[in-house]
Amino acid sequence: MAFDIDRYTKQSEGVEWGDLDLDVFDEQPLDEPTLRTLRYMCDVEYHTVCYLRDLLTTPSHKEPEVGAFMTMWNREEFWHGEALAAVLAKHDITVDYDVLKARRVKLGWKDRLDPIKQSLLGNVVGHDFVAVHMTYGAANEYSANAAYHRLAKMVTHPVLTPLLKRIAIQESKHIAFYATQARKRLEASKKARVITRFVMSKVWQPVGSGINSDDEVTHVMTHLFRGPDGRKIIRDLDTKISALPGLEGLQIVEKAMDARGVPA
Amino acid sequence: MTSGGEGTREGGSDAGGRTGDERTHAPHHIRGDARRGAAPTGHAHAGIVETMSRTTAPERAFDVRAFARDARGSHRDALDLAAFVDAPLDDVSLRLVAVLHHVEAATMGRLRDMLVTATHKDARVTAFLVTWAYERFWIADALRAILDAHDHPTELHGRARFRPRELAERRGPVRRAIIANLTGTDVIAVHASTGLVDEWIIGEAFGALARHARHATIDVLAGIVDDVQSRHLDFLGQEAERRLAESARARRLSRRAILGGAWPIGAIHVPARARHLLERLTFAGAQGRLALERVRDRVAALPGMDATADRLAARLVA
Repeated sequence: MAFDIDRYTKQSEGVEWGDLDLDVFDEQPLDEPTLRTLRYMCDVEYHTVCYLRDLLTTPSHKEPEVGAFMTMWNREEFWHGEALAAVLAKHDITVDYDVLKARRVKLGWKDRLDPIKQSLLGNVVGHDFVAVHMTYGAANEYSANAAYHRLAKMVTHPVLTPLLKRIAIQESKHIAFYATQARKRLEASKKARVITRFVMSKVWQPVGSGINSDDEVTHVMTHLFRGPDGRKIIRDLDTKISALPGLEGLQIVEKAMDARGVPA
Repeated sequence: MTSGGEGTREGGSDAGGRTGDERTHAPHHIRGDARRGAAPTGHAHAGIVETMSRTTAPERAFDVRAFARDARGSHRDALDLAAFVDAPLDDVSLRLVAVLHHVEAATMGRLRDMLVTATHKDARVTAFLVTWAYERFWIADALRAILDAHDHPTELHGRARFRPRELAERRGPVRRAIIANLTGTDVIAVHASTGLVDEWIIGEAFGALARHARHATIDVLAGIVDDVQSRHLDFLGQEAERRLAESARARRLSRRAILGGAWPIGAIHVPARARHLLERLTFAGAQGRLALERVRDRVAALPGMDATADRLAARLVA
């Protein structure tokens, strides 16, 4: 899938929800499990700037196309967080800058050491480490896109469903970028394929695992992906990820679901 | 914005870590509105006028959410690039455009340098930075469009200037992150104050470009930059004022970063000749001296920066 960076940057904008009547939530509020999942998604979206930090530890951002994408992607994800925070606010759940700051402070030393670890790995592995980041990004964006589509279908809410679909459309553009970059870099280097396969099979965890408790991750994965329909989505995700060069046969998402006891 | 410096004191401090800056500082809030000498468009204030309004942060707390919502995107439609066919820019102007493009396009690197520190934990600051980076991307894009219209290369070639006092600027993410873990949240004040100084210097450089180029399209661009920068200055000014006023350590670290900086931020990687061109056009001559005085006065008005301002001004033309 080709990615036109000029077109993407020109069209990039914060997700719109001003035309959606949030007061509908007064009459049709969301249930507690859905709100818990939305809160998780909201945290992940706002936390993108911290993922960006790790991506920026490699020199890839000096490539104009990558730097341009990161600028737009980061802003779009911020607005996803804002949109979801507005929905949560209608249910008296506050996600403001102070709450986010408290969450980030709570991450402690692991969070402080992450950029050092990423930088050192990048230095040791060399330029091929960019392929790891791009593949990781592709897997995460595939997952986020699937999660939004899944939740939109589950709730069939006159406001939440269209909002989630709008977010998912933007996530699909992010997929196009990351998957294109990952494919190009994996095809170009055997070392990149070997290292990326190792990292994805040994390290990858569902999006949000690093910033949420195990209980929260398990709740969200179970809420969204339990049962045969959920398992089909999970297997589709593995099919897409394993279609990248060097990742053939990997079933990292299904294994992560099994490890968390998400019923098939 | 430059890195946070180590917790060491710069020379000349007394037993309490107070420098001449500390002893003479009178806290106040300041906003630099007229950032350039010329007034190229209706966006800029006319003449070489320094307008400073004093207020307190709570009275005019910056609305980060509104800033994010109203971010300025592509400027290409506002720029008459066809005008360069009949009236192209001269070589000196184009070289200055290329330098400005270089520093504006290096924003992701600057973002990294800030995000590997405690700055990334402050969600309000990162919300600002997300939009700040977006707006700088489009300024860089406008500059690139001007270079493209002249078939002028965007890359700069040549050896960068080497000055021992600017070594901290060459730190990679590992050293920055390690040092920042020791520095703690005072690093946010350093990022705000150095970001502020950078915006002031960049604003003066765009003013110098407008004065030198004498071209309607550049005037329009300078006006756009003025407009875009005004909100960056508001946020950074408020953050710097408050954080510097609150912490002696933040003032000490900021002084060190300002005096150890290669200006504008990103100039550390600019070839020496190109950097000299920017400094000469911006700060030499009668108009340049006024620009230098404006930068000096604004820096001096920051809490604890009186003496630092003079030393910075001397270095900008050294």
